[in-house]
Amino acid sequence: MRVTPRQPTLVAFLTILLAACAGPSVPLLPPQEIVERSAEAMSSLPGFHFLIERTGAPAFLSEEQSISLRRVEGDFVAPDRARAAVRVIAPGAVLDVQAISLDGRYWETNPFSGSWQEYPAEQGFNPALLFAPETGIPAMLRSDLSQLTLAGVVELEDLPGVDLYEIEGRLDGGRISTLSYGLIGPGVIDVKLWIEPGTFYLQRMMMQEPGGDGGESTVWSVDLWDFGEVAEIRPPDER
Amino acid sequence: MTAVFSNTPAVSKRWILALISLPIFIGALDLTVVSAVLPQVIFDLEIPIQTGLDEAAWIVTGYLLAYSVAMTFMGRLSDLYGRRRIFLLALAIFAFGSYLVAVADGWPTQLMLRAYYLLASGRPDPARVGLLALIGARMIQAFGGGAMVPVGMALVGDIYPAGERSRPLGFIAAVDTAGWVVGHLYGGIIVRTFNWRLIFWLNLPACLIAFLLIVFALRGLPFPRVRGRMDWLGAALIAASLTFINLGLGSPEAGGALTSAGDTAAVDLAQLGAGAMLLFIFIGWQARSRSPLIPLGLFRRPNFTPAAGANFLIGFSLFIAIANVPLFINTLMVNNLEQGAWESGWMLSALTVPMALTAVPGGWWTARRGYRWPGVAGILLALAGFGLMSTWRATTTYGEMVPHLVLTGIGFGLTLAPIATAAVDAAPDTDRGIASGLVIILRLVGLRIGVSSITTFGLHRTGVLYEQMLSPSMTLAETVQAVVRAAEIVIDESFLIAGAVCAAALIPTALLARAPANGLKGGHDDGRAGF
Repeated sequence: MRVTPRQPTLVAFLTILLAACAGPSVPLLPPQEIVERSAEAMSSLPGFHFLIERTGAPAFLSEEQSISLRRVEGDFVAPDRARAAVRVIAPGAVLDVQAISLDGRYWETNPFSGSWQEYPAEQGFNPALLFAPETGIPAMLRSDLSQLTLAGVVELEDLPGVDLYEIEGRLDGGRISTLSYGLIGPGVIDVKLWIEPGTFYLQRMMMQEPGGDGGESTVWSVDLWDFGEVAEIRPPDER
Repeated sequence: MTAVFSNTPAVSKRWILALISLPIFIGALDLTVVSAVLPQVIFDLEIPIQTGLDEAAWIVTGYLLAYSVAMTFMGRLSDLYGRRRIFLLALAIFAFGSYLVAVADGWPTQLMLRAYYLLASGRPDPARVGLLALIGARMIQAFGGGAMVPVGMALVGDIYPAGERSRPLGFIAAVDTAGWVVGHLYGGIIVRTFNWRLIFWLNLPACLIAFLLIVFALRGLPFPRVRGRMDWLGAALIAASLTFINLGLGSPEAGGALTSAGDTAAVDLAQLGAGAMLLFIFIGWQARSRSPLIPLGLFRRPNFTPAAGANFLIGFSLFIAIANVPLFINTLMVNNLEQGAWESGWMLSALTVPMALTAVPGGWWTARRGYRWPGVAGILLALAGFGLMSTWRATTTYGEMVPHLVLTGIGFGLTLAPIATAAVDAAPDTDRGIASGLVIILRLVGLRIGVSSITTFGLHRTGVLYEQMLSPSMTLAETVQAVVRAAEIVIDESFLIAGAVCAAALIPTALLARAPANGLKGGHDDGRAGF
C-alpha cells in the first residue's frame, strides 16, 4: 500500500482520539484501600512542602476573636520538624509570622520587629504536629475517616495533566481539633481527598466545617507537593 | 518638519478644551486617588504589611512610571498619526485599564494563576498574584492617562494661534495638577461609603461620554500633517531609562523590610546606574536626531533649567506632605481604614485647597513682580509649615494640624504659577507644548523619587527604632506604645526631610529672573499657566 503524506497525520489523530475515548487507565480501587495506601505512603516520606489555606468563616487564633488564621505555607521534615510562614488577619492589617518547630521546641517571629522568640511548643499553631506520621494527618487517614466513597478520577485545574482519585468522607472534628490548635471545631466535618494513583501521595485535602446557626462554613484546604524533599530546618539563632 | 492646517473644528474651541480636559482630569485624579484607599486595597488583597508593602507601593509608583513614560512620546506619535485618533486611543486604553483595576482580583488574577499552573509547579500566593494583576492594570490605565496630557496640549496648539496658547495650555496643566491634588479627598469620600473599586467603575461612564463627545467634537479638526518619523529608539530609550530608575528606587532591596533594618540599602545602584546610562544615551541620541522627542535646546534657554530644578524639588517635598498626612492619621489617630481614608481626605484638603486658591494670586504677583519673589516667598512659607508639622504627636488634634497644613498649602500654591510660567515663557512658540509637558514630567519624577526615598527612609528608620525600642519582655500594651512612638518619630523626621528639600528649592528659584526678559508674553498676563 502506498502511504500518502497525509496518512501519518491521520493515524496520529485517530490514535489520540482513541486514547481520549478510552478513559482513564487508573485502576478503580476501593476507597478504604486507597486511603490506607496513602497513609502508608505519606508516613514513609522524609519531607514535603505544604500549604494550608482557610476560606469562608474566619478561624480565630485569639480568645477575643480579633486575629484569624488565613494561610500557612512551609516545609515539613519527618518526624517532627517544620518551618512555615503563618499569615494572620488582624484588625486593619494582614501580618506574616515566621514559625519553626524543631526537636520539641517552637519559635515565632514578632510581627513588628521580626525578631525570633521561643514559646512553649503547645502554645502556638504548630504545623509539625499536623503532619507527624504517628499523630497527624497520616494517622488520621489510617483510622479516623468514615463513610468513604470514591467520587471518581479527576484532574484538578491547578494540577493539569495529573489524574487523581477523588474520595469523599467524614471526620470527627474532635480528632483534629488538638492538632489544629483548636482552630477546627469538634463537630462532624466533610472531607475530600485527592490522591495520586501511582504513588498514593495525598495531593490535596479539603475539610468543610458546618457553619454555626446556618451561617457561613469554614473551609480548610491542605495542598502538598515537593514530595520527598528534605528542607534544612535549623533553630533561628543558627540561620 | 512642516505643518499644514486643514478644515475647522465642529464645535467651539472652549468646548474642545473642556472635553479633552475631562479625561485628563480623571487620569490625574487616579494618580493620587489610590493613595487614600491604599490601606484598604492592601487589606482587601490580603497583602502582609511586613513583606508586601514594597510591592504594594508599585500600585502608586507603577502608575507614575507608566504615566511619565507615555508623556514622553505619545505627543509626538499624535503629530504623525493624528490627534483625534491618538487621543481616542489613549482614552480607550485608560478606560480599559480602569476596568481591569476594578476587577483585578477577579478574572485577571484567575487567568494569571492558570497561566502559572500551566508553566510551573507549586501554588503561588494568590495575594501576590492579585497584587501583580492590580499593578499591571494600573500601569495600563496610567499609560492611557499620561498619553492624554501631551496629546491634549498638542491639540491646543492646533486649534489656538501662537499668541493665544498659553492660557489653554495653562488650563490643561491646571486641570492635570488639580486632578492629582484632589485625588485623596475624592478617594476618602468614596471609600468612606462604598467599595474602593467604585472609583474605577465610575471612570467607565465618564470615559464613554467623553469618548463619544470627542468623536463628534473633533470631526474636521485642523491638525498638522507632519512630515517626519517617530523616534521609536528615543521613545524606547527614555522609557527604559525611566523604568530602570524607578526599579532602582523602588526595588525590594532598596525598600528593605521592617525585619532587616540593618541590611537595608538606600537604593539599588546597579539599576539606577543602568537608568542613568540609558538617560545619557537618550540625551546623546536626541542631540543627533532630526526629529527629537525632547528639544534639548530648551535647557539652554534662560530660566528653563532653574524652573525645572525648582519644580523637581517642590514635587519631591510636596509628595512627602501628601503621603505623610494620611500615614500619620491612619497610624496614630484612627482605628479603622474607612475612617482613616475619610479623615485623611478632608485633612489633605486643608493643604490642597489653599494651594489651588493661592495659585491665582501667585500668578498676579508673578505678572507684576516677575518669577523670583513669589517663588521664594512661597518656598519660605512651605518651609515654615513643614517645621510646624514636624512637631506633630499622636495627641495633636485636627484643629492644631489644620493651620500648619494651610500654611504649607499657601506656600506651595504661591510657587506654582511663577515656576511653571517661567518654564513655558522660556520656550519658543514651537516648543511650548513639550515645555509644559516637561514641567509636569519633572514634577512627577520629583514625586516619584520622593515616594521611594521616603519609603526607603521610613522602612529603614522604623526597623532601627523597633530594634532599639522593642524587647521580648514587653507586654502588649508596652509594645503598642513603643510602636506608636516609633511612628511619631519617623513621620516627624520625614517632615523635616521634606523641609530640607523644600529649602534646597530656594537655590534654583532665586536664580529665576526677577521679571520676564520681554515682559509677560503669550497671554500670560494672568500668570495662571501651569497652575
